[in-house]
Amino acid sequence: MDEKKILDMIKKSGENVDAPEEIHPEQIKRLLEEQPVDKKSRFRRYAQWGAVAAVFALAIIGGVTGLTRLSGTNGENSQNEAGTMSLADASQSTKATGETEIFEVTTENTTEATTEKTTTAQTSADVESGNYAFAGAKSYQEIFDALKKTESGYGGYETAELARGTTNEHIVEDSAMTAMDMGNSETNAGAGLSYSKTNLQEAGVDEADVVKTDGKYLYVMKATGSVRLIRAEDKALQTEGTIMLDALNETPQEMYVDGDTLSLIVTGSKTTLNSDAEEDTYTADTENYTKLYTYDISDRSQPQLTGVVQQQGHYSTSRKNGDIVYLFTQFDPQVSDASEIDEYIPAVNGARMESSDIFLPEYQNSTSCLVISSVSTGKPDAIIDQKAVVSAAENFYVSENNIYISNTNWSSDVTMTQILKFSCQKGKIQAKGAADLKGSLNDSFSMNEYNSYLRVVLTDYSGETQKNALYVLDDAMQVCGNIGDLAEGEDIRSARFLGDIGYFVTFRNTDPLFSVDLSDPSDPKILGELKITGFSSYLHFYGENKLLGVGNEVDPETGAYTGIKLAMFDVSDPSNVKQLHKFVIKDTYDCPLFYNYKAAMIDTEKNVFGFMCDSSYMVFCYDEEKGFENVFTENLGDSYYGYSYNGLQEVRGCFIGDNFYLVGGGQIRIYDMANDYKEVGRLEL
Amino acid sequence: MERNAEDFAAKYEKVYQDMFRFALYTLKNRHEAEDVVSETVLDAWKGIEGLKDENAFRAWIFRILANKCRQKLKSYLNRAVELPADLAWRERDTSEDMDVRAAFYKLNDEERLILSSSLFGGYTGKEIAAMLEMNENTVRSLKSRALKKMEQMLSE
Repeated sequence: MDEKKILDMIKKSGENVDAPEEIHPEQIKRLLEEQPVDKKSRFRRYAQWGAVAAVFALAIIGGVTGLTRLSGTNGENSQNEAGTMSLADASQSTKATGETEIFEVTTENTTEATTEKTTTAQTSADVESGNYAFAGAKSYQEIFDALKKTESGYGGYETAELARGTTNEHIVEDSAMTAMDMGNSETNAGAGLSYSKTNLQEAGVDEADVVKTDGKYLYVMKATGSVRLIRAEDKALQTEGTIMLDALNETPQEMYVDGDTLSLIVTGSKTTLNSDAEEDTYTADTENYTKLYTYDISDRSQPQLTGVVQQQGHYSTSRKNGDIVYLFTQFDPQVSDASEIDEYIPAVNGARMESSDIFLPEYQNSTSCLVISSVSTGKPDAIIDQKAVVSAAENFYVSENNIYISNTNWSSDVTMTQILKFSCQKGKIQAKGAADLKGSLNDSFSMNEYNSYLRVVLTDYSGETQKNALYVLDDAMQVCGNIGDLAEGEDIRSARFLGDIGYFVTFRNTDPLFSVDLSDPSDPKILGELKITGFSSYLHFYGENKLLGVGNEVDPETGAYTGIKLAMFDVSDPSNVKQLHKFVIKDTYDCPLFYNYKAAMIDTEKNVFGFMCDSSYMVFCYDEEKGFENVFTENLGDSYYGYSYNGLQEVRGCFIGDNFYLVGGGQIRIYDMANDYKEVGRLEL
Repeated sequence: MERNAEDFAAKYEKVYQDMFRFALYTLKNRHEAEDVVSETVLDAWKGIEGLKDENAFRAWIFRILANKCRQKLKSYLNRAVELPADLAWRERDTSEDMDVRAAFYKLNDEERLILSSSLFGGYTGKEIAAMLEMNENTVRSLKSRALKKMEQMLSE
């Protein structure tokens, strides 16, 4: 039976299903006619349908103070602390046995010829981690063969998809990739007023976003293809300049602003029609590309384009460290016997990549190819370095000196996560090593580097009940310490590391917040475990000795979600973490912060944070005595479905001095933070 | 689009069967499916004036529906008792349809959501990826894996 046939069977079985009368159009029409007309009402009742009540209603429950339940350090959780997995050592001892099929170490790789094979890592259930170096391919043919092999492992469906090429009706930011990093927004107390910054995963490594501010100007990207440079003066906003994209087939994705330089990331596609004279048919090949436009904006009213680079693939994410922008794109090779080299080898800035710059990891779950390049804002026409790796990259974590890319391998019963490491210094990108760890990552926050050690937390779903583990890997990606079998039956929902201490949240019906001592990389220890209701999906260090958690409140009896929850933890003693306050926003569910941390504004110095909650933007501050205070709520609900389809995610709040700006839905609203967030103006975009 | 019950119902009529099928196959329970479609209608009604392009009604309302189904699935994760899965539909249901449905219901949440988005929602892999916040390749391989599972179950 092929996949097409199964799809047809499912579809056919569905066609025999008729919608119940209650939702027939006549009934619906009657119901709609009974709906109240008042659009402004935030507390509407839908009494007609008991079970459906209060879809959009937003109720706020005050902070419940100081109620904490604490269980001490749980001995059973550290039982496995000495059980460092041995594959790394094993592979070390078998190194250079000449078993190198695909992996040849080139001069590129600084590691010695540690090209051992670790296929056992994915087939044998008792092996929990592996480590190996990886290096560039020897030839295009080698890459083609590897792609071909991966592809054939997928069967007809995958092939058909690939052969058609990637269609590009909707050029979208691939949020799966950018979604999962998070970070510290810092107040820049420079010469002028303080202002908010993009919420980052790693302090010092900038990330692009759709709205930026530098304390004097707001920079707002519009999906329709322009960037506005808006002067913020007192309570007024004025558009001073606009960057328009000339090419209609290009869509802006994200941008950076650094002093007088604006870097704009754009995606585009080019479709070519190939005719087949004999068959009288046409096939359309669509090629996706990503461009980085660099502008000199020293005159905000007249941005000058200073350079552009281009690379193949749709945009995944990017980082900026100092003057260097790192661009990540995902290229889909076309693999058939008739493929030309350029159909399966990506090009950067118009030049086909060298085979030695393309890496083939031990196993590939996809033929897709991640392309990484670096560009300096000082020389915006030139690529400094470029590398590619055959990988369906899922999570990206970039520290000051290294890039970590994770992907999941489902090819056997045991799910393994592969983490590839590249160093990135002054734009030079070098392969450093890779590790396979049992389980899968929650998001990019499950990875963190400190003093050259990478710390990773994973959930393993393969057994009867899920289990969690923490690993510490050294500079060469070898496991040097771990804790296994953590929180059986639960899974990791969030993680955050600060120096020698790590925190992570697992969840079943209550939310244990674990703290881990990582000061000895070879001997990580669980310090404490705090059990509370609900769970946090996002953790953020909030001032000294405090940790903010944003997540969901869950009824521990029924397991039902009851709303979005804020929790503040006292982490002054990591072995004795306490919940100080919590705040539940009842009957709210959707919070873009959970999957795109950049959607949140957090400034711990100004003591203010805000994010979208269902259709409302909400701002909070925190008082040691009184707990969380909701200082601002604006419902954008009436129009938010009318935004672009990810409009909700694109709403941003930011501030300069005491002016708070809410950007979304084609306008910027201005509020006076010093005057109870009174609206003082608006700018239509 | 203007907020007009007549027009809304006319648009809705063209998609409601697929909406219900999508919801049933994703949530497995007819009452839940019915509820989620109703909720979607009310949200859509509330936001209808924001819909600029009438032709995008289908894609738009399915997006709301898919989001709601996702939220429901999330909230089920921690439920002690599973809701009954509705297999039989009516007399003329063939046993083959029921077998297919039973196999489909054995897939995990993610797999069901991906397959029903594609079959009843008419979404492309790329759109599903965007909707579910996933890598497109992940969606592809999940879809492929789900179909392999189905094949195995149906050939047993």
